[in-house]
Amino acid sequence: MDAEVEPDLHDLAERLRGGSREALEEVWARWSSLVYTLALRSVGDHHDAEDVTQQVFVAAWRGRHTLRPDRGSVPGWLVGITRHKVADLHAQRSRRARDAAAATTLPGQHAPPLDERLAARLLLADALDRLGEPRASAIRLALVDELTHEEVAARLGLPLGTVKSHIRRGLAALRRHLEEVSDDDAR
Amino acid sequence: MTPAEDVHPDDDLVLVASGAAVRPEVATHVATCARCTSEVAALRPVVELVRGPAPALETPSPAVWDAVLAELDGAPVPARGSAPDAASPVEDAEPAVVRPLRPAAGGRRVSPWWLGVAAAVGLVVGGAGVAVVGRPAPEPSPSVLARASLDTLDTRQVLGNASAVRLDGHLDLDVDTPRLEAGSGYLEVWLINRDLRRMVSVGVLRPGEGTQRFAIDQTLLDQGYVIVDISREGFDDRPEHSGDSLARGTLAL
Repeated sequence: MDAEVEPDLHDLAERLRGGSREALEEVWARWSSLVYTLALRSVGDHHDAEDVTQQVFVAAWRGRHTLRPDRGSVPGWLVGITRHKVADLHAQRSRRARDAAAATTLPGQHAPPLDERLAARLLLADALDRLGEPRASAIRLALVDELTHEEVAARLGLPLGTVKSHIRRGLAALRRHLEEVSDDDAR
Repeated sequence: MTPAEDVHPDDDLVLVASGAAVRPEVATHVATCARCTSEVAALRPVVELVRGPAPALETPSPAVWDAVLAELDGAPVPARGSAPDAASPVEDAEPAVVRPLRPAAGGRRVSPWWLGVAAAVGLVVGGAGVAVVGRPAPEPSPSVLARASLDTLDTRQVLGNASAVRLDGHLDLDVDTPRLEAGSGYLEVWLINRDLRRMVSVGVLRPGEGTQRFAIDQTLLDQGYVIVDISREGFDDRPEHSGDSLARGTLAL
């Protein structure tokens, strides 16, 4: 993690590791929607998604010593835990369907895995929000609005070199967040 | 041929990755520089994601946070220091979570399925008066109302049988499962309703002790509690079904 870019995130991770309930509450406030949205889209049911969300945060607290602020961000770590909990739920559903099959019909449905594309989009949107200004605006203007760097500089009233630097470093930070997800996929 | 470090056009790689126009010398450099080509390839998915639609976030009910706190406060302190030096944070997180699928006691939330079970256990056991006796068999000349072969749920291997028997005006369930083992837990006998949403606990089965008899009630059968299920339960103070069904069969009435 680039502590220079996101010192507050690094600090939050350290406080959570240290056992601060306030840090957990802050983690909830900032990323419960991300976890819940991902769970909801992956399990398809509000109630199950809330169960998964609850399990993720309980697991995050109990496994807080496994959080490595130097290796990954809190949201990337939460997505990894969510992936496990969603897989657990799917396994539980399969078993339940199998149990029910003893009295009714055979199951046969396979639940979808975690929506990895959505996970990446959620993490990226979250990271983009955290980049701060004018970096986030510079990136949005350059990539979404497809302005040239010169036009972005004029729009933001910043020197061209500064804008280029913001865009380059901002993209590098976003990329790191996505690579955390990819790394997790490999396990 | 790799160009010198100081001439990598790092500020322009985003432009290349996003498909924007760049100066000819930049394009030429990237085309001949493995490092910059690799950088552009790595930036491309980031660019695509930034350009993609922002996902709509949904917010969980505040009750979920309350449930998290209740579970943490109601549960025993987790074991610390399990594999703190291992590489994967997620794999590390697992051992600390004792029962990932089943919320802990206290402020736990229950899914509809388990809610149905809890309701059935509470209401039917309390209301219809199922006595959990497990008293030893047998008494003379019971009349067998229905039988069920108890099979594994996946392979249909026969692991025992169950019978609903009437004796002196009482209804009992005889269960014989010579091949079931309790492992580190215990075996529990359930009657599951045909709707597969409600169930009642009938009693604890001692492995390897032959046919065991449990008192049940005709009302249960009349209400559709005809599926005999043997589960393996842990010693965890949880009254509900563990979900670990070892054998099951339907009483053919």
